[in-house]
Amino acid sequence: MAKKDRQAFAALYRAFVEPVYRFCYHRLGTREAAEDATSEVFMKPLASLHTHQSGRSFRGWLFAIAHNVVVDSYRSRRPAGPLNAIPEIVDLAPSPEEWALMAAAVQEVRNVLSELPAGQREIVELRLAGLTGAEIADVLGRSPGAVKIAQLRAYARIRTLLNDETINISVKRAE
Amino acid sequence: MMLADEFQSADELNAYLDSLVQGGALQSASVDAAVVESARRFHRLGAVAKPEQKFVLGLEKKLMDSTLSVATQRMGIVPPTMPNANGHLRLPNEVATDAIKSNRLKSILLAAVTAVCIASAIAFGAYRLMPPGPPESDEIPAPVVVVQSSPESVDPDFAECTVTPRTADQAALRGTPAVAAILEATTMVESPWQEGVVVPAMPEQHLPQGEEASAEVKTEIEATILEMVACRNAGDWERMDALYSDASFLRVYGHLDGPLSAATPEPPPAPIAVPAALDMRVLPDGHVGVLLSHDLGGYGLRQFLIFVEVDDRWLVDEVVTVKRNYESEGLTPNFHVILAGDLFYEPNRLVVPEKPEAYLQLENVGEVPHSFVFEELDIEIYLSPGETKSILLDVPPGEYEFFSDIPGQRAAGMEGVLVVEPYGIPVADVPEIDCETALVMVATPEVEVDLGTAMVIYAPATTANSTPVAWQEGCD
Repeated sequence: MAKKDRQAFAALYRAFVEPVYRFCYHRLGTREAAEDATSEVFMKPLASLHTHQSGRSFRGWLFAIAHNVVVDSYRSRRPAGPLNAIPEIVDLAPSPEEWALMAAAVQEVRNVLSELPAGQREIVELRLAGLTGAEIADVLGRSPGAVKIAQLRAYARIRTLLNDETINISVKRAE
Repeated sequence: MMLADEFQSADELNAYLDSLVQGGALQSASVDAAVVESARRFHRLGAVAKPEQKFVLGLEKKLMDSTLSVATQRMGIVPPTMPNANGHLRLPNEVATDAIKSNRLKSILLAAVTAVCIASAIAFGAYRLMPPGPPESDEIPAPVVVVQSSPESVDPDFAECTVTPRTADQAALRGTPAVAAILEATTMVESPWQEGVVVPAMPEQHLPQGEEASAEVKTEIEATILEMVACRNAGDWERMDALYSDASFLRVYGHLDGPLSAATPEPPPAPIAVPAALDMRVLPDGHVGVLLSHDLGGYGLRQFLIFVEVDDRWLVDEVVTVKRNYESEGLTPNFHVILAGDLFYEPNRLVVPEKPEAYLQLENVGEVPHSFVFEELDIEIYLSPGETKSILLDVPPGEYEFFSDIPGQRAAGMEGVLVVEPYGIPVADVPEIDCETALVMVATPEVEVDLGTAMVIYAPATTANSTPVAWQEGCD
């Protein structure tokens, strides 16, 4: 049984480690914090696999755990300001060119996320992590209808923010 | 107000996003094309953040090699009853003293260790009574843990627990006649959270009043609260005890024999944050009452600590759980309440009479979402932290199980039973009692029902003693 569980969990781990990391990264803002949280997220299911109800989305269950881990992490770290105010250099890619492009892209996402109301932001972050609308409703304990409405408003806001950023960038380049 | 076309747009955007996360690109005619394009672009940007391969492989190896066997061993363990929400766990004398000497209790306590690991909070007294457990270093972290917090709170470092532990002489006071007198004088009520445990509790409006404490006193008391949490989070119960007055210490542990603590401080797995002091009032006897934003067990329910000044230091002299008073909130007997806290329901068994226009109010007093699922009634209610919803209890008599279907919560104890009893029991079916007994019972009725020639008294519905009785008119 243990061997079977190990194989099953290894497959689940490989399928979900990246989206879980991405979710943690967007919520916590640093690579170190995202790695710590990701480790914790995958440790917890090991101890409570028996609590997962068959027929339920494993991904939703996993992200419910991730959500709680991130909330706990917020409390323990207590950042002094919003994430976009943290002057962290993102260390993600092997080459300087890729590094610069990725860092800029991630920063852009973080800037936009920070402009959203907390409830909408959480929904978008779970979307970025690859969850479906139904799974997000499950994770957040909200009705699917409420999630749909909130994300419609969130993406309308994102559209405005992205357009604003584009305009700002264009202006800067023009200067 | 939402418009129909906004609902349709929300549906279609949701379908588009679902297809996007699954690798497709379903198009929608009714959603603003600019919104769709922004979502696509945003998701592409969001996917940039990736973990380092070294980290991914390292974590996988760690998971597979070192922890799974431990996890497998743990599978199937279901936590027993949640620990007491109060900072002090006050076991009845006979339960604590008899059981602590028995091997059976050892197994109970070991199970409690597991429960404490799984649950979100720990009652100080229960934890300190446990025998030393196995080393934690090889064990995996506990499952989802919720740490109660408040916006004002800070996380104290273990190093802030510096108070000198109690001396052996003080501990030796336990079991003396003086202690018996203290225990006798203490008014206790049954804990609403744990069967067989009594705690002091009262509604907020009945708490003793007083003038606001001075800034100096506030600062000193806040320092004590901070150190209490630091000691609690460090698992240093010896020092924690020294932050309680002698009387308080003896009220809690005076009836127990033997060592109270594990030899080595062992931090609990779920640290708690410092509760905010909502107000500090000087009581008529010189003590200072402090209303906390949440309890020191981490359940989010308020506590009222009474401090006494001893040798220039403010120590805890009493811990009071602040009870909700539903009547003062305008809730009638037809209005029943179940609280959902972090991994518990209160009550988890609610007995209500079948009545027209009876309502069930569900409140989330925890820090994470919880749900109420009544499968038989096809009711699913999800509550965000702090959210309250009410439903009309239009159901026939019977027993209805409910639980939280949020992953892990049911296994951690979030399940209960709603019992709807037939209303208007025929007088012929109700045993008659003499006037003397009836007048005693009527002193504290919860529900009175006039059935014509007789009066039926329901004992408090949430207790086991809920058998209706009747007496003929004229007793009083």
